[in-house]
Amino acid sequence: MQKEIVVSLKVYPLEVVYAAAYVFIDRCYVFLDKREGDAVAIRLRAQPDVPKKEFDKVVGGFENELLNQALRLKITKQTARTRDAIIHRALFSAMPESLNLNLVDEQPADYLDDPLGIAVPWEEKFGEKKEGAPSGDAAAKKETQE
Amino acid sequence: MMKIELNKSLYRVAAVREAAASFRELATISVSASGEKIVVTLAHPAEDVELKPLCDEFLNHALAATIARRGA
Repeated sequence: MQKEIVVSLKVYPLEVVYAAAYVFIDRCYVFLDKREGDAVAIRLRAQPDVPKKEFDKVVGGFENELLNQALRLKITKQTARTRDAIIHRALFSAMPESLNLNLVDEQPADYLDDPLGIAVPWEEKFGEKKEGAPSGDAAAKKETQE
Repeated sequence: MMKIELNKSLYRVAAVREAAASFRELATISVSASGEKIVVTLAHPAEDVELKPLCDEFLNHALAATIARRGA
């Protein structure tokens, strides 16, 4: 039991034929052959023990799948630019800010600088001040900065 | 013995060779490319293996490998 479908590559490009064949390759045997001009013959052969009714369904499904894949290809081509723009936008948004090319060092800092007072001991920063107590270098530095 | 001719614009030689390698334990398969055709010969099937269904399975395998290689 077999059926041959001849399609024009102008109507159904080769990638459409391949896509439809790939969907049905586990349900029937598919063989492609070149014909005159830009036509391709698709031969579908029933697998063993498949009833005729079932095979007819497979053939019909294959023809529908050809249309489905052709439309899919058309929409893919139509929306290619929009899809690319969305992907570019998504990738650009995911870029860390450090990769932004405006790498201007606004405040060149020395490694000894401590603008946030991180090096100041807790006692000096928050503890009660004792009169006459010597202040640390960091505390002096902080006061200078303030 | 069965001889099949495949069109090079529809099947890739590398894919057909890959299929032949996969089926080598089931039959003697030779692949040769000449001009626009790929000629495949299947002979001496293994015990309990029928040549016609084997040929159909081989063609499906070659087509699937071709599609996979094209990235369709």
